[in-house]
Amino acid sequence: MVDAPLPAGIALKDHKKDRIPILPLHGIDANPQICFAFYWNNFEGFPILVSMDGVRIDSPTVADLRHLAEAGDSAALSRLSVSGVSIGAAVELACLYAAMPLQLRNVCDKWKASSTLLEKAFGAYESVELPSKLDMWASRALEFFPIRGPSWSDPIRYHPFESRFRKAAADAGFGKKSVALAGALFEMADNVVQHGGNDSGSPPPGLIGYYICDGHVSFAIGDAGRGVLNSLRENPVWTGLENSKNALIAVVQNHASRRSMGGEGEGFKELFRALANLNGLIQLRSGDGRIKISQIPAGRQAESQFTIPGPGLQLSVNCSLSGQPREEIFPLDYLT
Amino acid sequence: MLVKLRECSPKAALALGASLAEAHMKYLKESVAGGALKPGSLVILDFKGIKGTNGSYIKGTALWLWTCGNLSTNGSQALSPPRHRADPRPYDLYPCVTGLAKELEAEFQEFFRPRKLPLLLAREMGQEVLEEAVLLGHLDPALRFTLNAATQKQRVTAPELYKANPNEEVTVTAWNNRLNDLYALRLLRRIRAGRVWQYEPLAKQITWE
Repeated sequence: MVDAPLPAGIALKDHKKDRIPILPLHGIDANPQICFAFYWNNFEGFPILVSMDGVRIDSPTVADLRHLAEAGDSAALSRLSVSGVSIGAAVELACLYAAMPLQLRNVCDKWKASSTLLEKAFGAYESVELPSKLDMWASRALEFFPIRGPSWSDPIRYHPFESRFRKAAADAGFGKKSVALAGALFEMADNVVQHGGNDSGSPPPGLIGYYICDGHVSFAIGDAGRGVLNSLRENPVWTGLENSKNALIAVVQNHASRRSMGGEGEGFKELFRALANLNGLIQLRSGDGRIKISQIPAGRQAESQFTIPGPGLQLSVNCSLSGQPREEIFPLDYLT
Repeated sequence: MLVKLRECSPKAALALGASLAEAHMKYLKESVAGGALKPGSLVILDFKGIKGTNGSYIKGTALWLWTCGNLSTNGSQALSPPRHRADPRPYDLYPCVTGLAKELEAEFQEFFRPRKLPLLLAREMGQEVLEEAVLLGHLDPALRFTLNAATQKQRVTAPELYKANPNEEVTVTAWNNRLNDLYALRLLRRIRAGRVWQYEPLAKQITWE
């Protein structure tokens, strides 16, 4: 924990000091662009927004925003000025929109109105229309695709999307690795249909998004279904799981599957295989659990923690041909 | 029964994912559940024209079929009752694949070997017995020896194997156990002949990879 100066324009009631302790709430990495502070009053903390300008929203930050909204600090949220967003954050915001507190929904509406990117993400999640290519040139690409029902991947709709993803990834320097990445993307998206809902009901809607630039591929998949914990508990082997954090660890490290017959789940094996020898960063959020996996050629490292609860499963995958694993952020006005 | 996966709806050159596997196996599942497919049938999954596949698809097709067959040999010892529509059920079927391109064959090996399970890849097909097949996946050396011996004879019993292999120091009961294991692994068929079981290989010629 470090001290930081109070930002201009913020005055804390009954607080005489001009410096306050800063504590990142839910992000495993402290986002340098956005900080929340606990102002301790009778040993009860509440979050306030300290930095307001040029905030870059990545996957962990979405949890911070939701926490801030649930704490009821709508004034702080309305002051928030966003400069950039990751594909994982865009997909998560679109999927969780309906379940968000009203204050955050209002802020999202404002961002949506000023950002073609977020408008497309929200539109793709809500729409049942055929997806259209958003933007692609040379070695850059960004696109969203809705997941709807068991036949979500029918060739007429999905294959052109997948071809564009593969081509963009190949052009960005990933060559034949683009095929494995497309396979991993497909596999993880199919999990929404396979495991996101109850067998008796129809699967929840989901959303795929990808962003590709030179030497970097990121994709994200999200849904607002029942989440990993409820899904895994269908399998007698995993009924004892206590929380979503442990459920995520079981899925990622033990390849746990809700199906009791047929052995381990295949999805993460395929994802890790696709990311081998790439600088991969995988982030998952389900229920009140989060897990972050960094995969570099030398090995794989996982960190897990609790976060603010939310529906469904959110997955964000980033990989780079060079450098450290990182979540790529692009400007909010990327398409405008 | 030959299932041409490239012709199954929805048609796809890339056979990926559990959802597609479920869709492609729908007709077969209905045939089995409706009694249209007689017990003991050989089901050949034809991958001709399929350019790529993955673990989830193999699990939902070939492994599903294999597990159904295996469950049928366990009787009441089946693990737990099926809960999901895609869960395997005890059906007396014999699985086999054909038409695998080289990359797909490698994918199958990678899938079946760690699970220590065998699967036949038909090179030349007949009706209920294959003319020539390759064994993919894994098989214990003792079972390999037994399968080899059974394939040479085309129809064997445990006492016959005991007599034919006096130097092996394997009892009749042990031969019987091995043959029964191969039956459970869906590599031999079993027919009651008086007080003994007769076992028949699924292929007239089996090679190893």
